[in-house]
Amino acid sequence: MPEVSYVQVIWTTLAVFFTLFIFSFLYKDNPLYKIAEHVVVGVSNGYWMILLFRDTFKPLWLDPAWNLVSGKGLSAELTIFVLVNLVFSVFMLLRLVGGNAALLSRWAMAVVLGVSAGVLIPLSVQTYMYEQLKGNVLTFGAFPFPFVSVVSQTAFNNLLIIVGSLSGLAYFFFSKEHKGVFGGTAKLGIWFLMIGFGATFGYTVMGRLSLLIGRIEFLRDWLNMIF
Amino acid sequence: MKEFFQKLLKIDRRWIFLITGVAIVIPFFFFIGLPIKATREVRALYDAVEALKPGDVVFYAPEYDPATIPEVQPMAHAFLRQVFRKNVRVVATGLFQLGVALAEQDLTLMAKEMGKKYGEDYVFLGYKPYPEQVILNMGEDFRKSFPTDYYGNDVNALPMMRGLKNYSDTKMIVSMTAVSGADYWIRSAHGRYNIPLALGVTAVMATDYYTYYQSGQLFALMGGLKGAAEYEQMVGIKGKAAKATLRMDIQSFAHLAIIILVILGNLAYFATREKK
Repeated sequence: MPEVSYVQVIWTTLAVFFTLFIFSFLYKDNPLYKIAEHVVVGVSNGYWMILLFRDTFKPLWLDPAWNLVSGKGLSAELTIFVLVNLVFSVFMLLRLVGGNAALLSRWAMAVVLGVSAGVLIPLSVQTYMYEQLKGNVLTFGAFPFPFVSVVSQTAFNNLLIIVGSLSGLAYFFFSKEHKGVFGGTAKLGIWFLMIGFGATFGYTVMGRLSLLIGRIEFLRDWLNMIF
Repeated sequence: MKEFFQKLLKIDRRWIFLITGVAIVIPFFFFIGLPIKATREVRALYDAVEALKPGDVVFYAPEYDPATIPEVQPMAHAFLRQVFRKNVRVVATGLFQLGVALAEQDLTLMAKEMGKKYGEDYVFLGYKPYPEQVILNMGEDFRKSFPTDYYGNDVNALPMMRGLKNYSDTKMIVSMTAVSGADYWIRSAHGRYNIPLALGVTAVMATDYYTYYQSGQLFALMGGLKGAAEYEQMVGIKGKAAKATLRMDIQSFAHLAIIILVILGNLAYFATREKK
């Protein structure tokens, strides 16, 4: 057993208490749980703020801005970057002032939204529609063939995916009454959805238990450390 | 019998919590060593790393926080052990704000264990906000978002970064993630730059990402503790270091308890159901 310092024991013991505070919610809501909850939120935010300053604001803006102001020299590209960011940051903060000045914050928001939408819409179509559709359109030899690849070892899986996708979509098509063949297909879709939810539930149980196992391991290690 | 089932349905949920807790604590004292068989989606990552040559570079993106350590950290450790053992170099980021310190800790710990040197065998670029923009930027040049690394070193001064411009200079991207950042890697790294991508995700996320594995957008997928245990077995991690493998034994016992509870609940429901 490696030697542990007093500092390590104190911090680990503190973590143990917070773990027990959180677990106390299983019995019922109580002030100890609330304390632990607020500490988590506070510490997380504080940590993130320091990280943003140290890793982003300082190297990417403050240092170049200081070089510009102190006359150390800065490339034209970086000078524009520093100034444009300064202007839009001030615009964003004008929200706090209110009145007509606050309207300028919309310019900054417009840039953020415009760039994000411009970049992400084509990528989302590519990732979530085109690539996913491609996963359903299977190849027969080298020729695209929109049915089951009979030569493939995974023919059954392919069939299952196509039937599951189509019947699932049928269930969410509400412009036609779910009757007859269409109703049957929609009902099959419900079965596929239920099996999907079941798999998700199973994985969720596994995930939550894993986390509980991790915490109990932590408590065991603490006991080993103390005694 | 019907009365028993009626009582069962009205049982205080805290008894369920207690039973689950006991079912998890008991197996801590008995290690059975249940067999773990590697699945195709987990083996794909192991095989891809085994096929790499010494000196090749992989891009590694750990994005998990302390809450998900039990599931994701064993994957991260097993993966890093394998790549370092193969003398494959690693360039890493930590784009999840609550996981940056963990990412750095994992890299440092594994590098020390495997005798690897910072700047030559691995580089940690650190954190920048707006992960999707950062991922897109790195596809052009790592230096655009990271002129300096996590420790404040000029990236150009690090020997490993010479000749390493963007993803196309790496063989694959592997992200061990517990957050929606996984979507960003699929959309903006694989989708935009067509780089082979593998994910290690928490069990809760796993079913969502099987669709991307099925469509070929991911070449490998590790889900939860089970995926981590499979990977540990393939890498050959034994003893106390095989944390996921040890936890899977406990997990299986707890699952048995949950299955019994689900069966009992269903029996009680059908036994007490009123006839229409």
